[in-house]
Amino acid sequence: MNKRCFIMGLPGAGKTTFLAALWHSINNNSIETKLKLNKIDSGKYLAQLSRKWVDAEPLERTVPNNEQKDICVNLITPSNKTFDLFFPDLSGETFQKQYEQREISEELAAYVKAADSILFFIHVDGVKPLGFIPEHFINSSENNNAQRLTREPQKHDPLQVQVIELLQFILDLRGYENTNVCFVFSAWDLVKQGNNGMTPEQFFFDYMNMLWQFCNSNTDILQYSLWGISAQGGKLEERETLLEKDFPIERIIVEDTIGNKGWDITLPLYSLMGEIE
Amino acid sequence: MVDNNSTTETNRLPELEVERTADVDNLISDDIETLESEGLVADNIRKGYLQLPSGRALSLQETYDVMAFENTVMVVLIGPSECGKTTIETTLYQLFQRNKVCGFLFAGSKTIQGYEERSFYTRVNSKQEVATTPRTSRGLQELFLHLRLFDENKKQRTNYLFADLSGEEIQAHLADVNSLTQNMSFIKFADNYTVILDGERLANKHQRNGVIEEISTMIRTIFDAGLYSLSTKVQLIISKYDILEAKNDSNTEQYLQKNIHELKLLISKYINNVSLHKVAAMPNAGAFDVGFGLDGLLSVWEYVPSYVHMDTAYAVNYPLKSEFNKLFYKLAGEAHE
Repeated sequence: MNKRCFIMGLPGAGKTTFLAALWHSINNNSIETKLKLNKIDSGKYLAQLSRKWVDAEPLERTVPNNEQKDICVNLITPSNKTFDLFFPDLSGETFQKQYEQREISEELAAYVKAADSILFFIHVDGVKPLGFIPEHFINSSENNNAQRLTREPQKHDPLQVQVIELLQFILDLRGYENTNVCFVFSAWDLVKQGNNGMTPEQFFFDYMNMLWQFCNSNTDILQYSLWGISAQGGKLEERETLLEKDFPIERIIVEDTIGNKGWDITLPLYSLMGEIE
Repeated sequence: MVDNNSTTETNRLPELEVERTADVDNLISDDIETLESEGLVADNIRKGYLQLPSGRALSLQETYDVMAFENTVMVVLIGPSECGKTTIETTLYQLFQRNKVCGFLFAGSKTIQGYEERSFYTRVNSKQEVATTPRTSRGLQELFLHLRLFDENKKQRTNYLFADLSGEEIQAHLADVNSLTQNMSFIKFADNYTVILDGERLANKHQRNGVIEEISTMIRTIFDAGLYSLSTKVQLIISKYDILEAKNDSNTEQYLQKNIHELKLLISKYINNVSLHKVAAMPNAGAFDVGFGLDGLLSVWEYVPSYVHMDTAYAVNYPLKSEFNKLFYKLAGEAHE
């Protein structure tokens, strides 16, 4: 059986770090995870990422000319069913270009159409509250001396707006067929530092409400799940602390929609591939 | 033997009214420009790439896809330049970025780029200290902003198309029924005319008569051109209401009461459904929240199925036996036994 998962996210969203931690988790038999590697076929790229990840070394950002368009891992489920999971490691710039330049390669469009599910990474640091000028300044025509900036869509448009637009592209390409999306809030440790009781569900509603509305008003074509994940477990500047754990996998923070915590980073993929069991 | 030509002629659908109206020719002429510009875009598409939706405001032609797909409400905002039309449209969109509005959820938009482009200078991250909205001067090629909203109570999605007409566009046809009919007759399909009175100018004794005069003439030009239907609704909006309110002047209040009354009388000669709204979309810091009054406006723009507007002259007050005859009432959501 084959499954295709399309992995999305704007630059720096945490896609590659997730894949590095994923390889380590599925390839490590000492700790139980829902999905395990059944056999190594061509895991060189993921193994290289994982090698750096275990030592909490910075990973090189994926740029357009070193994108991995069709990674394949052969996985086994708890009930011993095996399947090939295909997914790409695309550069965030690829999605940025879709938003700004309004074009997608035919190859990628075909991947989107064929995908069984979407894994959409959102870095929590990029989620900013919307600030209106009248709420911050006393309006007076005399004090508008600030230099007029030119809008740069990727830099200035709210992150949730960009995510909605990219999702609209996906739905459009798929002919508005039912689509399963898993949103991964990456660097989840940053959220927990600020508010330990925050759950992914609450974060979604409080900080990305327009996206929440979009998902909840299109339930006939869009099913979604939410995860808070810190694949690294903290900032790389705190490397010494990160390396104090006995097993690298213990650094991983995985939290489901309602706040159940663990370190099984395969859970989002497992939940997306539910019908395999 | 069947005469192919005559069969074709017999099977032809009756010509739609919109096809007969003079503006279609003009719009088709405009389409030539559209095709040219689309051609330019097509040339820019790299080999092996597909073009994604532009996200910019829609042309009239592009609205057909929206209207054919789902229930649609067309709102035409009318008012002179800088009266706050675009700010009303964009602030409503931006309110959804914080929360649902008046029981409506944001379900999508085909014009996200159009909205973002127009909204940027109202946001803190534009590094400006005064909120501004770029003046609309895009012609008929980028006319409509689009919102798709989900009504939580009715559990239904409705499209809202906002005609982003420039002040100049309307003023070019002021007091000229023929010119308006020829160039903009599509506005007769508006479900709502949202007529905007600039609150800032109303607060100024030297300008307020001009505001009322200008709006009265615009309204008369549109309605005398017959660009409305039985179901059209009109909202009179006092925009920038925070400025008017801050003046706290009983003379201005009295002036407004009398003149709004006169405007309502004028409109009611043509249309029964007229309402008055006070709006401060991007108010100065103070007593009003951003988007003041927009929730009320959204509920007035509510989608009403066209069959509900059937001519009541056909109604009868005796029992009906035929299911066909009962259809009139069933479509209107009523029981008639």
